[in-house]
Amino acid sequence: MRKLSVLTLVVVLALVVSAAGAALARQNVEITLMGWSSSTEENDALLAQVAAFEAANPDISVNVQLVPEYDTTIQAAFASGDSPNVFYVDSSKLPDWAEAGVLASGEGMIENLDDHYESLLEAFTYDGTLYCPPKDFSIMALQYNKDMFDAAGLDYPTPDWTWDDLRTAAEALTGENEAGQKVLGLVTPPNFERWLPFLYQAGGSVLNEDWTEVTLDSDEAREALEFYIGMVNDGIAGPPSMVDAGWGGEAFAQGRVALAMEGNWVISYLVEQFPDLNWGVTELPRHPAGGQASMVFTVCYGVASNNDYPDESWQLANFLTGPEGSQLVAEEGFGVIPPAISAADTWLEAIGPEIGEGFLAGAEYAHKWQFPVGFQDVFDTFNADLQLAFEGQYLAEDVIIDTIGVAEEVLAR
Amino acid sequence: MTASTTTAPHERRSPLMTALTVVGWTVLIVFAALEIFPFVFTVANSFKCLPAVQSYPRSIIPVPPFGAECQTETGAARSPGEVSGAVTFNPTLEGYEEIADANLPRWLYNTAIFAVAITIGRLIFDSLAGYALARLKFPGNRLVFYTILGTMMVPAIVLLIPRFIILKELSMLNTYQGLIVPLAVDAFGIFLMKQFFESIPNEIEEAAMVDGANRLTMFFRVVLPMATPALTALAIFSFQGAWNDFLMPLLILSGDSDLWTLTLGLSFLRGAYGETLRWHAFLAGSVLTTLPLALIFFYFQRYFVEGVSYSGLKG
Repeated sequence: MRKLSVLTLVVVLALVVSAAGAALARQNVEITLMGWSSSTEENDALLAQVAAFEAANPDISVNVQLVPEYDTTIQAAFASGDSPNVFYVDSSKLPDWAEAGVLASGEGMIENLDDHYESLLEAFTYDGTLYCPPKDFSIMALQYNKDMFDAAGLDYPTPDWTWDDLRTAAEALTGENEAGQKVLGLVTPPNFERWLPFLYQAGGSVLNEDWTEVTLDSDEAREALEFYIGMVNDGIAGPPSMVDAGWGGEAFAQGRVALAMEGNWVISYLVEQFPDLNWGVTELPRHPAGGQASMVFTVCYGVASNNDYPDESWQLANFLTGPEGSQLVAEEGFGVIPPAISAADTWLEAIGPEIGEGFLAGAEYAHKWQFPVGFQDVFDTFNADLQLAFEGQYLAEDVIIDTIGVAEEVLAR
Repeated sequence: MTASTTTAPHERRSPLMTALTVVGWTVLIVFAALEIFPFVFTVANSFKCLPAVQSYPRSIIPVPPFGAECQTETGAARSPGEVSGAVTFNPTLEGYEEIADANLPRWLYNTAIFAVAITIGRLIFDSLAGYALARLKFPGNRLVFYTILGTMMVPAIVLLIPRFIILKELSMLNTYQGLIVPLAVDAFGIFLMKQFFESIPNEIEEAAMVDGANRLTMFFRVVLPMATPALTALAIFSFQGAWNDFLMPLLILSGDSDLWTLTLGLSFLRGAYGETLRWHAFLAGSVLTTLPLALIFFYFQRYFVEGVSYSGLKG
């Protein structure tokens, strides 16, 4: 009997202590935010945002972890069950992580829905569930070298350029520079995502709505691919390697191509590292029938499903992506565009409207960069085939047949 | 150093031999240049303004004015042509300033702590374990040895997640000891030491035993001093390995940027996509990462060559 009462006492004491502990912990909750490092300015701006959040919520402190090799680090964290409370999610990773169950559903939790672009929310919706609020985004647009256009006596590109205008200009701009090096009209990286805007402009698609069928066997896909490959075969465009560059932005910056189709990540690169370059931006050209499309690459703040502080995590995610948090980033004027529509004007002002507008306009009609789990195999096949097609060893038709084969295999898994 | 016999005065050299020598030297010079030039470019570009790295990556001769300004008064980047040409460039410390601001001193300090602690740990524990396996007869001696040897066959990447989980359970993630303790002993070192101890004649130890030394005295006063070549090799490998390690620090320390090593820091500077890479600062960081190790190498070069040839013979 005596033994029992001692035991009871111990249990009661333990409960009291743990309850008190929980109450104390409540006073100051620490949540972890994990992401990858961007430029120093961007990292600093995130810290400033977080500081503003902590000032507004004195009972929450945020431990910001910007890590190298993000994918490795977060996979280890998921595997050990020690997930950060809030973390970056690339739109291409969303299906993977949603399937794995590491992401909490954002339905009913995400605020300021009206202040977000439809195309971005769509990028973070998987299987009908909206998972997370967008952090920032990049849109593909057309960059042109003003000096080269002037020298060739051509008018600068405009948003209503069509494929034909692109081709004509690329043809006129192809030649040699003073050093006798080859100069191409347009840089065409041998990558699936660079070709996709052409497919979408032509009205084609890769998969049907519910991702059960491959829809690449279409006239639109053939037309888009033949156009892309055709420019290379005709010698007026080519991959970055053809002009000794590692990526499209570099080829453009070095003056080895007159036109490039990069996203807004190219802005700070060109401004900081190539101050002499005289360049402009406009929207991607349209299909001759008028079809307009671009690609949006975006990242969101995911909230962990395995989470001790879900409410505080959502508070943080909503603050960082809401009007106030967006303003803080927009003022700094980096390459990436802040997520809130209300902050767009501030961003344009800070970055310079003549540069920003070409990118921002695409937010209305851009497609998300997101495919089913395992689609990396499809990209790899397409990219390798595309390179062969550039070299004249493959036809557009061969690339399409190969790609469909692999895509169907992946879908059947 | 003894005089080389090939240069004896009365020796006749056939034209063929001369030609071969010339070819040999040419090949050596070409390969030496291939090895050295990347480092020369790294150093030269680390002293340039950012746009100059992009526009004139091949200029390697610094000319005055030193300490060139990389920005105009308005804060915009200066044209690369103003501070660099095809062959020469005006050096600046901008890259080094940027990397110093990016917490590099702290990374250097952490890396030194890890490398030294791991090296000391391995010298002590590997030699003790190697000696035990070489000399002490106990049940399961060979089983223990083969188990240790077996762990060398497991690719490190396989152990990544289990290691992470164990360290997490021990609350050792993001701590100094979290990186040091798991790496303070390694199978290769034990193997190396065991093989070396077995090559020492038993009689020496028996003599020490007759003089009244116990096992530990004998180990520290007699055996260990004889093992200097093996210990040197082990120390150099451990230090270099710990200094350059990336995967383990990434796994164990990535949550606390105050504990990062140089390799983590440099990778962090590179950014997620690389477009934002600020070359001059990145190369400045590479130079500073390489420099301490290079200095240690030059200083201990003789031992290092001995150590490599020793472990090459035995391992």
